[in-house]
Amino acid sequence: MSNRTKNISTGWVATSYVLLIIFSLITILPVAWMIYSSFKPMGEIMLHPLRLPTQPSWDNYRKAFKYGNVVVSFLNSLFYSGISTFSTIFLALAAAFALSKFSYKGSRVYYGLFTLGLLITVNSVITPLFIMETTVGIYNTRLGVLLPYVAFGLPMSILLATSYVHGIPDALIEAAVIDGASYLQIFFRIILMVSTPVLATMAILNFLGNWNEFLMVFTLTSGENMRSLPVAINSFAGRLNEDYGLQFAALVIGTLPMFVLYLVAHESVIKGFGEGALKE
Amino acid sequence: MPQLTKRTSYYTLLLPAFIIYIAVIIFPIFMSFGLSFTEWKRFKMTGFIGLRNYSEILADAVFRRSMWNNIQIMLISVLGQIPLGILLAYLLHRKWVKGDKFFEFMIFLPITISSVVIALLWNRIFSPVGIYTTFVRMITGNPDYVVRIFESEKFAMIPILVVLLWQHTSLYMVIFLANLQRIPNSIFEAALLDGAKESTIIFKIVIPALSNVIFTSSVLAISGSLKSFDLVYAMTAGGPVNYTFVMALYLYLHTFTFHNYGKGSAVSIIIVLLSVGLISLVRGVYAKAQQRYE
Amino acid sequence: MKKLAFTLILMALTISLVFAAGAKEQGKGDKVVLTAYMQIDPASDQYAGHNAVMEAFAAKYPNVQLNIEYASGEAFHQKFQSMAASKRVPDLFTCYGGARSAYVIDTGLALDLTPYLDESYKSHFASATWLPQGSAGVLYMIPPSFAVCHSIYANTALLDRLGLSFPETFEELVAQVPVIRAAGLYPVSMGNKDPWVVNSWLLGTFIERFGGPDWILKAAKGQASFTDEPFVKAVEIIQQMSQKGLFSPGVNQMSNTEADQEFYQQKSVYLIDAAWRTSAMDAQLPAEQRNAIDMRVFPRLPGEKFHDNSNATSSEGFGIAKAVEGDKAKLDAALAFVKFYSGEEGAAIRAEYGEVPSYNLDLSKFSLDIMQTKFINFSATYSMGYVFDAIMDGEGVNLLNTDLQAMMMGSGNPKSIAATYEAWVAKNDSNRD
Repeated sequence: MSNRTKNISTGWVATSYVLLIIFSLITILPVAWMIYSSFKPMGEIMLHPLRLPTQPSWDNYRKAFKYGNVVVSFLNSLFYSGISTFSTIFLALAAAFALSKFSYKGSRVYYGLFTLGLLITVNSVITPLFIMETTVGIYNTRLGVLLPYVAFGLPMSILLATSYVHGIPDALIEAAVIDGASYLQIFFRIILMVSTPVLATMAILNFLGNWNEFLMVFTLTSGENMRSLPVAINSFAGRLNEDYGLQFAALVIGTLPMFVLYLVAHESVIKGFGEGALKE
Repeated sequence: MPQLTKRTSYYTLLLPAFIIYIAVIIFPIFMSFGLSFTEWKRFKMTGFIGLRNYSEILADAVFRRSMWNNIQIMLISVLGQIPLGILLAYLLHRKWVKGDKFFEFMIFLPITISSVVIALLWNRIFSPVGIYTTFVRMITGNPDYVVRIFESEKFAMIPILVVLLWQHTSLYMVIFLANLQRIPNSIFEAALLDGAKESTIIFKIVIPALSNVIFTSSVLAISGSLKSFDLVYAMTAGGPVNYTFVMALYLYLHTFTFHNYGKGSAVSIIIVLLSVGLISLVRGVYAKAQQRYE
Repeated sequence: MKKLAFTLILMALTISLVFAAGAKEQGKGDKVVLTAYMQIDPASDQYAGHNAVMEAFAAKYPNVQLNIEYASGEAFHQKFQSMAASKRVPDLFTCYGGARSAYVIDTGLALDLTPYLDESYKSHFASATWLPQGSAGVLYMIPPSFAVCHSIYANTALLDRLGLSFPETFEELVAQVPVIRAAGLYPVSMGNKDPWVVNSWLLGTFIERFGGPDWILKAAKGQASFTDEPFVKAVEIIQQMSQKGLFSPGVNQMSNTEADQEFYQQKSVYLIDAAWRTSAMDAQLPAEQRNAIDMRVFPRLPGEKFHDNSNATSSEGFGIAKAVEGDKAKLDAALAFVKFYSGEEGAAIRAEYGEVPSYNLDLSKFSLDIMQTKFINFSATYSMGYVFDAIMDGEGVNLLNTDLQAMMMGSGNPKSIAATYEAWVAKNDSNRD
């Protein structure tokens, strides 16, 4: 069903176009510049920053692949972001269901504690975390990265999920209880099905946050085969000697997957939203 | 499968998340709390000094400036990113322009790019050897032109605020767009048939319907603002002098550069307390607004 | 039910994947395995020499296996500090001789190499190699070369065009400013966005022009005060440079690389940068441009007592973890590595790539690039003083640098900056203990 109406004032339409076009230009131009600069050697970028490459070459990319172990780090990033996102949204929805639909007094305390996590920066826990992980023995393992990712993703996800689940009509749940369903069954059959919009939102936010994350993977792993993409790229983005061409190539490699993922996921996200709306 | 009691179900659903969370986040925070009362010299803890770390931090002009800068970030988030996000989500949802899918993608793009890249690109454009500066020098014939605002003690934060606005509005747009889908179209149709203007629809229908989400987003925005680090570090590292310092940067400096773990811990506790205070404030405002709308 | 089963299977898969990965690597056969953590950017041209040395080492010592983790910039230090805090330090690691690596050399985690270095080995090196390191004043690493921190590069092609020549005195340099600007150019490029630049590239040298080569050491120990003439006058010169328009307008907004860019694009006549920028210049500039670049030290300052000096500090080398001491095989392997890297074989390889090693070599046998040759002549011509921030505590230097930057932007004055700094050092600096 179309939302379009025929009599929107031209004022609104014009302003919208202007706003959106400016925004898009601001976004597209620098990115385009970064992309075509990645095909130039550093010397040329320094001397003639704006020119299109005179002899475009894949050199920077070749170097990036060679030194950045790009294929493995890309797969690692996918693993870290993907599994942690999946776990986070699942656990968050479960906790949200418990906290908002079971009227126990203790829920307020749990909820408050979770919200506290929103205020903690990675910098303040990274050293104790490092010490803890090396002591327990999960330093430099994939689990050692996944657990903190999930922990840091939970506060925001639980916040979003709780607010959403709160809006699910109690009647739906009570009916199922009367029919003899267990709470776990209710979770899987009803809550999960109805919460696709918030699941989709949480998925995007978590995946994004974790994909570009640097400090935790960097500190908590040391093997080349454990690194994620941002960390692999940092290994040639040292501040004292900046080779812009190489940096750009590495950054294009690092950001491209996000574009692609968005284009792909976008469709299913819209579908997810649509289904949610239809349920009303 | 045998039915679990209500209480057991409750804990089964809640505890996995809770345990992971406690281990990773809460435990180190308690450690920080304890450390904040200690003194460190030459990598060794040399004693308990009570609240002295806190008083030194609050007396430090650099920290006070950092606090003010964080507040500016918070204001741009709550009063800039959120309203803009609502507006953009609304106009995309109502399909006022053609090519809404394209624009959606464009608006979403900034948040997918890491802060380091953004800072890099920003410098390529606005630094004294950047594209924009070179362009202006060429046009005005003034070789001494540089973007002065970066050096202004009062206004040096503005460029950073602008970039933050650009980068994070997309986040809120996504959240609001998702929630706008939950409002049945019939309500819009009915209002328009009644001859309502768009602005009325926004204020009388959309905002009340989204009020819960707006509250949640405000909480997210406040907490994010006080933690802000990546972009500032990449763009200016707090400079020039310390005009663009933020609290998270101050924390980083004292913990990792000066090795004063006691002071660093105290800063994180201050950030937490400030956030709690501000969020409670917002909660109060929200409760009052809810009363008005009921 | 299906959902539950599905979820459980997925979790099981995940967990098994997780434990399958990240197993510790064991040495194969009877190889000695050493873990290493290096602050090196293996993709950068600047470290091509390093890569060559690593290959040569592996060829000569096939029974030693090095598991190396690379990191760059501040991230290297941040993670290393976490490692130091948990007392788990890799066997080999990039180590600085001064305050930068204090968190590992002053906490008992690094091995004192003194007992393992005999006179016959040491005699082959420049004497400055063996300056005491850390607060205990021993040796934790063998500096492979020296980092020369002060140089002023001059574009002689532009000078010729303007009818000027390299100034002998500061007053002459100042007199050149109107001529340069009238031609639409900038006098001096310097990238002081990170404010340690004005300190590292200029302040130390200026202080030593007024106070002599050891003055900074004396002031550090309290035998002189930072409110004395040498320090105050040095800061005054910097202030005059700002006030008289010597710097291009973006001096406090440009990063070091951006300042280089301004100079490379021939928009400015002089560049103030470290002497090791020569390797980047060799990689990025055409030969014709490089032939026209002169490498000098700052002109004579009014009232200076010592002349024509630059300053240098030992560059970072590789330290060995104290824990390695207990394992003879690993200790021998680690010592072999550091001695190889800084010693004759490593030095020869690095010299081929344009590095001037601390090991005494006859460099005329190597064919070096244009700027590298100039660098070698530079090192041989000028005497080297100390680098300020290699000696003084980081927190105080940080405060000093921001004050200097504020002064360059117009607020503050040399006397009050000196007084503030002296007060901080007297109260807090570890050198004064």
